Amino acid sequence: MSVLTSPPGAHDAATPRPRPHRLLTRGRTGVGLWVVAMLVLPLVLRSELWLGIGIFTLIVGVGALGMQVITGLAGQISLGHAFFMGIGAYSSAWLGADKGLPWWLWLPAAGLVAAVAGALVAPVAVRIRGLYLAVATLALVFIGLYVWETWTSLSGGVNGRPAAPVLFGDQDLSLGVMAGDQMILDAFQAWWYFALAILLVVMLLTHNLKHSRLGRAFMAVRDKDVAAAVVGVPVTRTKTIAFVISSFFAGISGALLVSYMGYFTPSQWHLMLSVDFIAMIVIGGMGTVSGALLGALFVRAIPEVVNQTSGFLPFVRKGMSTDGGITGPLLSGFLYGLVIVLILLFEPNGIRALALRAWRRLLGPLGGSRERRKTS
Amino acid sequence: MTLFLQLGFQGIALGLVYGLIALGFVIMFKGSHTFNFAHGGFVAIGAYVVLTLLPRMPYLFAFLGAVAITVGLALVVERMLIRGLIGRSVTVVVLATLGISTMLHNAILMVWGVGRHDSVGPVGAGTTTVGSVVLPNSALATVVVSVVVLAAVAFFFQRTRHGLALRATASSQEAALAQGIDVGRMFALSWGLAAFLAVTAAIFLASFPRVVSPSIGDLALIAIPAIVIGGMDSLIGAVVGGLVVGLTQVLGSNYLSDIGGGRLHDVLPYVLMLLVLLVRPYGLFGSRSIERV
Repeated sequence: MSVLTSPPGAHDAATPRPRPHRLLTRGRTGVGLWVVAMLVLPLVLRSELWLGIGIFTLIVGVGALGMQVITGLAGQISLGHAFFMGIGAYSSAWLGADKGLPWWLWLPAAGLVAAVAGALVAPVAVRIRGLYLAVATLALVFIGLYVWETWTSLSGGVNGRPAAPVLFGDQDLSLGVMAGDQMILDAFQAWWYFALAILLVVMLLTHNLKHSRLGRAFMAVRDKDVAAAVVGVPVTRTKTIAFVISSFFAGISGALLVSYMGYFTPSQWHLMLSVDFIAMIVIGGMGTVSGALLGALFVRAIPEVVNQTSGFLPFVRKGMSTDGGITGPLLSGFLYGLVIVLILLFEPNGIRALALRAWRRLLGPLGGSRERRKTS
Repeated sequence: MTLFLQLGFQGIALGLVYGLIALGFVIMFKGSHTFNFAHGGFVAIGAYVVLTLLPRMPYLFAFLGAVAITVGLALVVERMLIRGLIGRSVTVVVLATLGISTMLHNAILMVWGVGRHDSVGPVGAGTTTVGSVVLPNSALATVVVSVVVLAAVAFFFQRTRHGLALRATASSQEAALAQGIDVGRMFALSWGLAAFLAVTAAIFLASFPRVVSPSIGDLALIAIPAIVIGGMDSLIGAVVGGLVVGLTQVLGSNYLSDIGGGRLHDVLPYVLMLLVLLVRPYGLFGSRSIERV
């Protein structure tokens, strides 16, 4: 809607136009600080639990950016993210573990196979929107689950299968990196830097995509597809490209995820995984790179925080029981659902908006905040 | 032929149960423009409450108690969580109901655990023979009660004041408001009605030989293909879609057991749904509101 009803110039005259490469000019300090923090963190953080959560966050961050492209930018709600991640995971395992290809081949290949799947689904998906699209993509998850469980030669059935290792030369990343006979990075640090490097590449791609002609076409389709068609955006092609790019990122993320875990089963590509990804971008902040990353951290960290702290609560039982009772995982699952609903109700723009507001309030008394720009 | 008739009857019975669940989805969708992914959770809650009340009171009271509790829960969820999201984007509402579904699922596991329990159907094991066709009593009860409930719902929508108000609200909220209809109350009414249908479906979904277990909420999700096949805003479509899915599952589980690991009937409804979306994106009976661009 806003594409048509708010012509540029009229009210944009007061505010300066955003310069094209914000990542390299305006937001330089923020992004720079974040990258430095990410580089230092695994060297000072000594908790294996939190290093693990951090690595998972970096890996699912790639998938969250894929979700951001399809839902945040192009406005097409998809519940099928788990399906595309599964495709990426099984392609990587087949190419990397069964065929013995190196990671720099199986990782892009996993993305490409998922992207091809996205392109195959697109003809159905671009014809429908809103709820019908949500439900149609939901079907993909269930069909996918069936295929993974039935195709036992590929997936190992319900018992699962080993994933492809990441090998640099003859060094397995999961065993740490050695220089000579001295270990320079342990397994957690090595995986952290590897995942961070790939996430940075995907972040840069997403950022540039958003500020390109194609990205503006995505947002025009999101705001009103009929209006987008009227101003000359090829809607069907734009939606198809959004699906392909999103599936590509999902495939990469799925491949990394299983490679880090080392072993995986069909049941993890369940609907809940798709829900996690929608939660990441909606809670984090729709349509932004930083929102996707904040959401990824939130979704990965909250259950673990609850799980850890619930050990100190008197009414929480230890271990699983068949006859009911409050256990840590159940409590964290319940609170996870509750927090999602509460954030949707009370902070519609997600925790990114919350963080920005807090940041401004912090700078306010110091006379900072030279520019009070609307964060779109 | 005998086998086909037996399977067909069981398929119709299962399909009517799915039809009841699907009808709940459609009523909520028409009434409050919310597609409630947590509806499976209401079905599960209904089944578990009947299970808990059953040893303490006669069947009818246990059922009515479960209806009261589930309807109350649905009204609370609608008023406190969903009402505030009216008018927000589809993505937000879908995520909110998925969040509620997660809460219900975990709450059920906290209260009743992961184990399997008894059946809670009004009729136990036993069969009735018609000619050479052997029909389970539970399937007969399912068909009879479902048809009565569906007829009652149809009567409510077509012949009563509140049914008319609900239809008016579904058609246009502004116009309904202008006519003096309390739209907020209509939202509540649609959710209450859906919760009642959920409990009715629950006792048959968990009747012999099926039992109450945590997977009952997921079982109810199979009503989603039924809605899409029938058309998301069509009451008749929901029932027809439910019958299609039920027949597909029962007939498929028997005749297709040799192909695809014997579980093909689990995904067949979803495949059918995608095919329907490809040919008729608004379902078999849905209104043609989708614009091509």
